[in-house]
Amino acid sequence: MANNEENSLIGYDPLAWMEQEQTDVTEPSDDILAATGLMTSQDNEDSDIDPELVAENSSEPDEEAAMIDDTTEQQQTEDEISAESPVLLEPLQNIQNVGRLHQRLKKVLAANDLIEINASEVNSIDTTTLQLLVALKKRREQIR
Amino acid sequence: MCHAIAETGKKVTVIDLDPQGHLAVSLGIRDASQDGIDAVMLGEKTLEQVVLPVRSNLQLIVSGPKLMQIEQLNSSSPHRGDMLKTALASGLSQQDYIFIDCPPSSGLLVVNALFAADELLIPMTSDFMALQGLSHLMGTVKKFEKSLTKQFKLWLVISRYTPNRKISKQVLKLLLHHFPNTILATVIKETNVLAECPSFGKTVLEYSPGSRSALDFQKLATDFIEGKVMYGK
Repeated sequence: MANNEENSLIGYDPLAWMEQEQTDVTEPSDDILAATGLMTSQDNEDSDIDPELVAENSSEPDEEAAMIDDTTEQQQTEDEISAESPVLLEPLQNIQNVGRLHQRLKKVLAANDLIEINASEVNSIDTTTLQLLVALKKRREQIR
Repeated sequence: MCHAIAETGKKVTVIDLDPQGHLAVSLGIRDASQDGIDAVMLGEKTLEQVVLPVRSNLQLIVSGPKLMQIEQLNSSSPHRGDMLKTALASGLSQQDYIFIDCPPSSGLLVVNALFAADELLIPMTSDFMALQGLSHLMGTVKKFEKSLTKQFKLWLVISRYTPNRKISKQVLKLLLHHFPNTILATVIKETNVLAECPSFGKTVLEYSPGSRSALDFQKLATDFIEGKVMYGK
């Protein structure tokens, strides 16, 4: 999804609710992760969107590349993401930062037997984050 | 697009359900006092009395000066929502397509349009606010589908597309993700002639025949008739 790609120019997906409405939150899957913007940009390269279709409409890639530099928040590099537990959730936890949380949790999951999540500062949390946390719990149970 | 469909020989009626009357102006009808769909919905006139032939195979029903009043109706009548459907049932049976141009709101007029329509054609610009608007509209549509137990056939049209803007491609990609097999195959690109032609009361097919935009709309019309969408089935 565009809103999860590196250098995305769409801060959040106003249409995400349409998929959340049709999805059983208790049974998260890769499809859910993709639908809610939790897949990595590498995952998204496997999208079934016809590249020809978009390419046909693209004529000035250099100009686009220049525009990318002006955009959105900086993505954290792989090395900057901490693998330490506990994981402190942000006060506003939503689709805009859920990709970063996803990266963090993957790293923590790989490095720790026990994952502690501190949600004490959370004021607002959206369903994409909740789905991620449910997916984490299921993944953890599978690993065991 | 309606003009392009009419040029293929299909009989088309367009109804301007937007009190701003932009559709009528873009087809060269500037008389804002002319009775239109407002009078028909209020039971004052019949469709035959207000319909205007504007091009070959293409006829127009203007919005009319009282349409804004209908939008603001506050009556407790249970039939406020089906005034348009009732009005359309009394005529226009010889048409291949009837298009209802809706206002950019979700008030009583849009409710009437949803009651009357079987299919929804949603023009989308490729920017973030259009996504926001679509989200709002889809919320309304879903509520309707639930309460009316009917499912609308949905079409999206990508309009005013700017190929050299990265966000345009990202919006299109996002729409394809949420609406697979729903977006008509031809994208209408932003051009100068599209901005210019409404003020002359001409469609782009008349204002700049043979231009890229005119060809795009002709292709779009064919897409609509044939149901040709991105990621075609």
